[in-house]
Amino acid sequence: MPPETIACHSPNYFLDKNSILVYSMPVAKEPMTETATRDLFPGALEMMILESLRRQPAHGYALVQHIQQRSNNLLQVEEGSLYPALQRLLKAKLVKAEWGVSSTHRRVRTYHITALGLRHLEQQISSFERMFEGITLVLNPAKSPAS
Amino acid sequence: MNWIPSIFRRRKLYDDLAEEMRLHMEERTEQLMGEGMSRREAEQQARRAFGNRTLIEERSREVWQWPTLEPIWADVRFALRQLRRSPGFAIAAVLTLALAIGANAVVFGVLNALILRPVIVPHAQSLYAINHSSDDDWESYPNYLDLRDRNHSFDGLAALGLSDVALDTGKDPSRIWGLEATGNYFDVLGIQPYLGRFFHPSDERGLNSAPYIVLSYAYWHSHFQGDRGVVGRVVRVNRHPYTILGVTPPDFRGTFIFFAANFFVPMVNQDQIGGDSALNNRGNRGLVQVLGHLRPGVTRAQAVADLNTVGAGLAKAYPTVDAHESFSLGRPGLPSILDRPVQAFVAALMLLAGLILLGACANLGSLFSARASDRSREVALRLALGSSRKRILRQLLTEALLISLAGGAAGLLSSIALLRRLDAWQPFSGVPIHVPVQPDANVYLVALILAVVSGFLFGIVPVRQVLRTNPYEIVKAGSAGRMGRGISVRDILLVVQIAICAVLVTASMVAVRGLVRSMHSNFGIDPNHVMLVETDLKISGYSSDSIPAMQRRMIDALEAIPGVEHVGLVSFPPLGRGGSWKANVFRDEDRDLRPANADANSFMYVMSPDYLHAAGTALLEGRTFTWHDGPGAPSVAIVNREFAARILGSSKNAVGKYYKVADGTRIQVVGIVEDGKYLTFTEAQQPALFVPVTQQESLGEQWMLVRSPRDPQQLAATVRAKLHELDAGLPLDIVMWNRELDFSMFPARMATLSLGVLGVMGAMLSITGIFGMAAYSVSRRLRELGIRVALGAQRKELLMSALGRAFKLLALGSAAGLLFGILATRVLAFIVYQATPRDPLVLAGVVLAMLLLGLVATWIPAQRALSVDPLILLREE
Repeated sequence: MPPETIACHSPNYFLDKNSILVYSMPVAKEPMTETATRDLFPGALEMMILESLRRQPAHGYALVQHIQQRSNNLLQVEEGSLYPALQRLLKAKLVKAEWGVSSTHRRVRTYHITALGLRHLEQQISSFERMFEGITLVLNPAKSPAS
Repeated sequence: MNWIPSIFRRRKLYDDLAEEMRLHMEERTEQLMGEGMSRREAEQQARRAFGNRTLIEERSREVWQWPTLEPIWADVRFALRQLRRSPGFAIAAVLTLALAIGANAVVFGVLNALILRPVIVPHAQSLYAINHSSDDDWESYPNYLDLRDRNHSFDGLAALGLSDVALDTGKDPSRIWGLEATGNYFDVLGIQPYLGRFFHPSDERGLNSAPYIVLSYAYWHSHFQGDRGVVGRVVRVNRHPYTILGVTPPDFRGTFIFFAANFFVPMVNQDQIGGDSALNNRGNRGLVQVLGHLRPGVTRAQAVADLNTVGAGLAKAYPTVDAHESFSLGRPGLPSILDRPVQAFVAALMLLAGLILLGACANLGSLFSARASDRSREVALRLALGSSRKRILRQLLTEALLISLAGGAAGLLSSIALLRRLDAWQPFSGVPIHVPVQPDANVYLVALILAVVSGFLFGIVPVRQVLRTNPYEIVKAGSAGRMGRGISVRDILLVVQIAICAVLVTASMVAVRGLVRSMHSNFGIDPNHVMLVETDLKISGYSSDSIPAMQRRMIDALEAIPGVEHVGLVSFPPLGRGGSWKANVFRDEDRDLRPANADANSFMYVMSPDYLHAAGTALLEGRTFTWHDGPGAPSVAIVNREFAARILGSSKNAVGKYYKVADGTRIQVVGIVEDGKYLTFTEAQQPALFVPVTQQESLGEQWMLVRSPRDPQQLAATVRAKLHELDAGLPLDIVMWNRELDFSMFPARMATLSLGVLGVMGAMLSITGIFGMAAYSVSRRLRELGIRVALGAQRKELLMSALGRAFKLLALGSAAGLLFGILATRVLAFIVYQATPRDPLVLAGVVLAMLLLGLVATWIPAQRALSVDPLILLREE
């Protein structure tokens, strides 16, 4: 984990700052510009959390770093917004949490994916892929297999 | 269900969450510091990156909560804390609502019991009374029999009438009231006996063939101590032996709402019970009420058509006694003569009570709006911290609902207590009149609905205020705000409220004035110093032949008592509880003497020669009767002016003219008396005629009037002794006439009382409303007032600036209220005798009352404004 933590931070320090500003304003009212971000669709954050946890159990802070890093900072997640999502996953018994001590001797609450979570993730990913494929087909008709 | 452990687990979940988030920030901060930031910068940056921590924590908690319930519960707890911080406001608000909702619950309780709730019998929805004209639901017995046998629409028709009998159970002979009913009465209603059995059609085998009596549960309980061995015992009813058959169930006291029957006897024994055999008289259409269950599948219209067919046949067969009017179906509980006034009155009360509630809501609405603007800082702060407006409104509404529910509960509890007492109340000792208003689920439901609706009503007043709140402005500028400029919602609410109160005050004043005037107006009698002695010679065993001589002896005996000025004898005294006789009369030139052709249905009194003096009725022209106007002499009558005007052409020179009665007899009018009131105080002027007792069929029930200035108690003892010298076994009822008039006064008194109470409540509401507004405006402007004092303002100017607005609003509201009140009291005039809003005294009274209310309500705020000490105030700033 530490390598990730180090790797993900500050090259885009200012972009971080911008994105936070964006988050604190109503997105919909802004004209769509290149730098403007859009909200994630419902369930997307949960899916990414589950996927991260499938690879490796992690605590909240590490999860945020992991997601931002893996997305090449394309996704700017307000750090706090992770927690309601984690609570939802806990409640649905898709993850479980336990207190422990990290390799850096920090007290952390580490999340693990459960068997139920794994199954749920598979379903979500396959349904997301189908949806994504559909959207792509519509947006790029030329690549459509039918044509 | 795993929610029970989850409640206990939740504490730990929340703690874990908070800790986890704290650690997250810490880790971030440390990392940023590792990159070379100062701790301060790093902490700030970490916080920014994390987002609105409170909001996120709340979102995370919501995951574990029941979707809607818990935030509401949190709101409730917060509202309770808020209210505890301002107990004065909370108590005032709850009390105001308790009063208003209580008043509504009481009035609705009465409305529910008297109008909405059917008579308590099985399948009450299909039970109807048969009215033979728009306002008469009574029939003659022969007509009833024909209706019963010839109709095809009802599952049996029963008939019943009121009667009072002398009941002798062996120890305490007393007169009690009950119902005489046809044999099928209980069968038609579907009532089962509590004890023993009821009488049935099979028990009736002709006149006086069924000497049976059924007791009501209450009477059995109070007079036979619930003795189950009572069935089969023989008691004496009007000196005839009757067998007790059974006892009715506890909740059944007959089918008249106001009248709780003590006993039930078969109607075929009317001869023994009522003292005369009115059963065979087809023309006596005032004897029985007819009721029955509509057959399943038969509509009301079909039933009415069916009844009209029967009625038309009867009118054809008996043209001399029966005029066919169209039948209609009425409610069985109230005699239809009472039905409409009661409905109108209760509806009017409900309207006024609704106004009170509306006034209370306006009152609370302005209080809440004032509170909201006081709390605009808090609201602004919460908005700035990321709370949604929806959330804040929900919280304000929760507070309003909390208050309204508390007020509703308090109001309901007190109204239940009041209704229970009203239910147990027996206004007249002799007659089982009572107002059965036991509250039921409907009343509770209505109170709850009213509470919730009014909570929303006054809760939404500050909504606009909150929605328009600009947190930035308010946090910057503080809440000291824009008072007293422009017309605010609060001002409008206050004017509305004062107007409503003025309407109530006007209405109650009009009613009270009307009653006072009706007490002092001329009824054509002078009841002061007159004692009424009621006897029934037929019940006491006298035959028609012996009655006239006995009556003469009784009059002579009473006239011989020292101090007695006049003694009169009459069939029923006017305005008494016994009701009155009426007779169809015709002009002298009329040839067609069928009932349908009658020129008037006049009140009719059978009287002895000295009755007019005894009653204090003024003879305007002609002469009164003498004992010489006997059976052999020409038929004579005395009539009132109204009668003379309607039947004899004019009230002048009417003496000596003739009118006719149904059998064609010409009767000469020998005297004219003043007009009076005969049945109720509120009736329109009615014709009345008086005929000599010596020319009539002998009276059974009779009332003797003894006019004497002597002490009533002494006199009563002497009267009793004198009459018992003539017949020791004669049952006597002695009462002062004024007391007897209470009976007729009862509706007007009740009306006045209830209107008075509503008026007082309206006044109280306006006091709290004006007080609230004045106190608020003074407290908000204390600083300004202090500056004015410091700049040398005089007391008068100070008061003007502090309270001038309150008084202006008061004047505006009162004027509007007075206007509406005058319009509204046109309705009252139907109920309260001589209620006229165009009465200078009422107008002056209302203006004075509102002024007084304004003074009372602004007294404390005015004192506070006057005692402003500029030094202290300015130093505080």
